[in-house]
Amino acid sequence: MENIELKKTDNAPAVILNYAKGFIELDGKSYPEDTFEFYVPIIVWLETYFGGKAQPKTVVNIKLTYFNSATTQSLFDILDAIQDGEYHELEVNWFYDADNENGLEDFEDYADEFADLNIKAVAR
Amino acid sequence: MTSDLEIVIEIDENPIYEFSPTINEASIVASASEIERILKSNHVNPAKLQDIYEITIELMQNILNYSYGHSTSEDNKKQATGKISLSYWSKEDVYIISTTNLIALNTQDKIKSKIAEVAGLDNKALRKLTREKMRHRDDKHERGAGLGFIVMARKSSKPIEYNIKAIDEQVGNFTITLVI
Repeated sequence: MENIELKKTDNAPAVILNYAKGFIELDGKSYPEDTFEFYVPIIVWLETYFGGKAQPKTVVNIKLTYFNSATTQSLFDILDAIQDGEYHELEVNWFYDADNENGLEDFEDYADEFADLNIKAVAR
Repeated sequence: MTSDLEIVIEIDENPIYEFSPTINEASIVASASEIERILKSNHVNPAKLQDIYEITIELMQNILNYSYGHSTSEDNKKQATGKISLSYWSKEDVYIISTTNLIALNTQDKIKSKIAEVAGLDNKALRKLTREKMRHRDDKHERGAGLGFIVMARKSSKPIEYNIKAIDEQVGNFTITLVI
């Protein structure tokens, strides 16, 4: 599998999809003009990775700060692809701003919806 | 007809920031960054800043994607016109975000339906609706499940207010207002 690495922009997160390391990370703001199109190759990569190619250990870090409703939905699709897939040891981390009283609300929505993934909240 | 996008930030009716670019991806980024900078300089708490920032982007992207007469430039970037204002009312310690843009009147029933769907729902019900919408989408590679108004309602402290005023038989002005 080829890796995907995208640099952070003003409205799109840095993306790391590293096959050999089993490392997946989204970091930054997320409201690109064509949000769904932005996330399609990421979701396709994840469907392949979790379709029988997962490493013995996979780490997923979600470090999104501000994001639009299309990203909300794309995140659901990302976690859905993981939960429906095949994996061995899996660590999913949701990073949030400890100073933001809303910081855990999004985490709680996804953690409840994808209980099998045992998503961990990580303050930063 | 509306003018180019106009952004006004005011405190108790005294504008502290305004400009009027054509709305496109670059102007959304520039506007969002400037709004973030101003709110941080006014020591707005992080939760309220996040809500204002995200709703502003949501509304601007709605104008870009759905307004009547939006177009695509030579470099394949969308552009549109509209008006957006952000105001702070010190008595109530609330921010009010309002946008106006043109819509095709044959889309108004869809807009009304989506706003009616979230009217009167508390935060718990809105969170439940968010999850139901995401879960029951048929094709994950297709565009949205209509989360925009739900997300906005979750962040707004009062019901979404809107008005649709016909300009002629086909086109109208759509104004939407949220309180944060």
